[in-house]
Amino acid sequence: MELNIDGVGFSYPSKKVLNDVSANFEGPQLVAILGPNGVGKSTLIHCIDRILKPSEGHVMLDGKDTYEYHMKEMAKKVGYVPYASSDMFPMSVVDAVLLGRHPHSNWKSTKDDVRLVFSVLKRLGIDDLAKSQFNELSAGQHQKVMLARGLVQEPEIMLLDEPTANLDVKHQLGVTRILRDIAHEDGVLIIMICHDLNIAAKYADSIIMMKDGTIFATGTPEEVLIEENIRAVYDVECRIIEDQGRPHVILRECEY
Amino acid sequence: MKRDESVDRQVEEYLKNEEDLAEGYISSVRQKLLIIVILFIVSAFICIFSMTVNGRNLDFFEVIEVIINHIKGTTYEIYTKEWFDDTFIWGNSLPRMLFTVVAAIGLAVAGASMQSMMNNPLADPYTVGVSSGACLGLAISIIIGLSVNYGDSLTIILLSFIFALLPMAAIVILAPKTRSSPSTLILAGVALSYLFNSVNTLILSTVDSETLSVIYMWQTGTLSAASWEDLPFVLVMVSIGSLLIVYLSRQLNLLALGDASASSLGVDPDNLRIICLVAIAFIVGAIVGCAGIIGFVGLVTPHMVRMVIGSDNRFVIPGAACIALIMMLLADMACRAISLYDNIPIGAALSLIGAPIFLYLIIRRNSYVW
Amino acid sequence: MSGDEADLYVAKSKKRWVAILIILIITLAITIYSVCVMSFNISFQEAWEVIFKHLRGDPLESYYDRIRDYLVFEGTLPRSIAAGLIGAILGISGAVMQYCVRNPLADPYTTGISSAALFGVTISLALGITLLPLHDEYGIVFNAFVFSMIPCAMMILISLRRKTTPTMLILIGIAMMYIFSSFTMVMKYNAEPEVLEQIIEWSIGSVSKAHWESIPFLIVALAVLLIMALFYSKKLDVMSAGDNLSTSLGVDPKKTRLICMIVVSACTSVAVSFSGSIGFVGLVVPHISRLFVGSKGFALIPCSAAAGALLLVAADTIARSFGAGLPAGAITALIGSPFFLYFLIKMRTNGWGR
Repeated sequence: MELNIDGVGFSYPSKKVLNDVSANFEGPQLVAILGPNGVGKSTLIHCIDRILKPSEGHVMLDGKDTYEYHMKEMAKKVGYVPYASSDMFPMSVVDAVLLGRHPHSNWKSTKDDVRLVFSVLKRLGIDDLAKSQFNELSAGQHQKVMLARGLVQEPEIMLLDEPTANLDVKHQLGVTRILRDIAHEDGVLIIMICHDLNIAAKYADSIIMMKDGTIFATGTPEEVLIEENIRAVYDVECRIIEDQGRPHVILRECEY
Repeated sequence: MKRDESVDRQVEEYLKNEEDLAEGYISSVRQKLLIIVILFIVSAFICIFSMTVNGRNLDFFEVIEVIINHIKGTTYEIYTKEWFDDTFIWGNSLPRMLFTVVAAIGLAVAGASMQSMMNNPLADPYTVGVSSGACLGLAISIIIGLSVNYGDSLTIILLSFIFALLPMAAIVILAPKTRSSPSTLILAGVALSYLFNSVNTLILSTVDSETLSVIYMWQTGTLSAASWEDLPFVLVMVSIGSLLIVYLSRQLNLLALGDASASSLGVDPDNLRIICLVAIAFIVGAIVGCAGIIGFVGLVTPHMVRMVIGSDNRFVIPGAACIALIMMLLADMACRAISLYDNIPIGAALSLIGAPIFLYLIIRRNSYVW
Repeated sequence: MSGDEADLYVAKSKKRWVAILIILIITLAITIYSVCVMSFNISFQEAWEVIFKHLRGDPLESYYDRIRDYLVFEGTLPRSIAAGLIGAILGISGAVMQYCVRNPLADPYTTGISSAALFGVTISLALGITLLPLHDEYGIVFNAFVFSMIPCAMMILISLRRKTTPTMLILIGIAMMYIFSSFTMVMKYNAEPEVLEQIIEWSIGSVSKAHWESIPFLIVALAVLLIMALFYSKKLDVMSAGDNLSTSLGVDPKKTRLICMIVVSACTSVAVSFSGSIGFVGLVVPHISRLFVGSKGFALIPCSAAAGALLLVAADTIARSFGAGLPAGAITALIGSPFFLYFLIKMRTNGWGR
């Protein structure tokens, strides 16, 4: 699969958020988007998945502009996992995750659909929550359920908005590793917004660093995570060491 | 994503009571289906049962007999007992029962979908102002003097129906101009509803008390106006609207996830809302034109069903329709049992029966989300 | 925040208060003017002359003087003041209710009080039963008040026994509303046309029955409501973030919600007892205010009060100018809706921040 982002720009009525963003993705990999708050990461993801319409530029999916696809076709190809919000909705976890099969199934959910849901739940370690109601979950469990819903959609491309934000360290590591495995074993292009530099460094195949509404640097973790970049983008002093073949960022000082 | 055989096995190993988890879910789905089927059967039964309160003292099987005979085309000599039976059942009870059924189904479907669409438990079929428009149409047509007796009611109904579409048209026009999140639509609809209501009230305050009584009676929700002439129109409108909504019920489920997620799953939320609004306007416009404003069913029956079955619209919508049907038929029976010709307002009976049940459910139910 | 942005922030806050002040001034202006609006022809100057005369204690000479004094001092003046007070009460109540149940469709009557009050009124009008054998109108008002507190009591009872979510409170209010309105409906149906007219007039809501005797009650209710709302405004802001978050921030959502709803119910009941249920104000005024001053309780509540007062005084004045008997409740939506729709479109936001 091939995803081209070509000169995409986006403005809200009050301000311009994205400015001439271009990137190319080919083939399955885990891509991490890093950058300070408010720099346009979520907006970029929304533009890819047609949730927002870019004011300039195109997003091309397998050679075709995303707006040329039928909505249901897009849904089969691209999955979106939002940042876990405090919105509660009235259904059980299984039903909530089953909704993710909507682009694929017809009126009735087949037994295969349900089996898929359960296997995904098991993979994320939340199968014991299957019958719980959504409002009884903790924030971390919320997030995993949202992730499960994205996974059962079986898309070619997955967009995740801070999928590990509310999880504890172990789950952060575990979930990101699962995402990497899915990318490599199941052939999915996974683009995730991440705030933890080190987890991104550890698992991502490539990193996009954004600043001020545009792409500052892209490349492998080794190429992107260097002291100058982190200073330029985050305004933070750090030291980079190598650990298990990947860069590791040790934060030093910052002006506040 | 590959089907992981080992996960399947693990899943099956993980069960308690040797029950496949997926099987467990599907069996719970089967349970829900069973409940709906039972509701259907009970509804059918109550349809006939409700006709046993009649002016001719016919019991359950006699009613069925009369209907079958009529369908077979039997005619009777005028003024014989059989002729009276036939005339009453076929001319009075049956259309009234059918109309109640249609109204109940329509209101329940409209209410359930409105709640899903607006993601708001306070929504009911009248939230967006459709009923205010219809009431206005009703008032205007009565004042113009189109008809005060029930003979010519089709014109009244048509006029109310057209007026009912006005608020909806306004919203459809307004929606692209605002950020049409559900909240905006709700508020715009409520504002429109109040607007039409106030025009209605102004008109009401200028008429004399006799006309006021008539208009008021029409607007208060009565099933007594049902006749064979009006029935086809209402039936068609309610059917179109309800079938459309039933078809969309799966997509309505997705709205609960939020607009962004819904659109990423292949559903255009704005479009969906507008289509549902149109369907609801058709349903409510027709019903209010014939029967006035019957409250309670549209708001409460979906909640009642959700408390038992959960929030899947594919079950909630038929379930609510059945429960609404049963409740309205029973309420109408009660009204007629008290006095066959006095026309006690159905809304009163409905609330009297249903509200305590509803209150009880709210208090007792532990895990109702929403 | 840098110095510049801090200045901007303060300036924006100041802007809010300026907006509120402007609304209050307009309200005052309309109130002052409205004294002369009535079915009897009287000019603005004359009306105020009459008032000053009365306040100075001048004796009333002619019959003409007496009539004018009566009409203005016992008629329009208290009525306009009452309209302002009731409008303010409804505005604040609506805002607080919307915070409490986190639902943009909530209004002061969500707890079911208006149906209960109407029930009390209908009992006395149709069946002649009053709880206290007070002089005619006061019996009705007292009925309305007492009955309107019943849904409130119900909510308290249920909250004490089990965990209640905001939605449950709404649903309980709805159930109570239906119970009361069903009884009322039956009585209405069997009522004679004249009684029916009275009942309907009451249910639409009109300020016409307000006298000087009502004003102290309204002032007290408004004061209590305003103080409580402002006192709780910070907590209400926190509560809108969600129950879990509020608890972690030290605000007990259950308790706050219950207290707020009780006070709102009580004060609104007072207003409703005198005027009937005037709709629209409590629902839409907070939303309009939100478009102007944002969602922070400390600004939203006074703004809702001011805007509510403005709306109702204006509506009442207009209603009066068309001749006697037109209820203000019908006009509020007529004026307010176009305004509201216009702002919804213009500002491209629903004020609820989403």
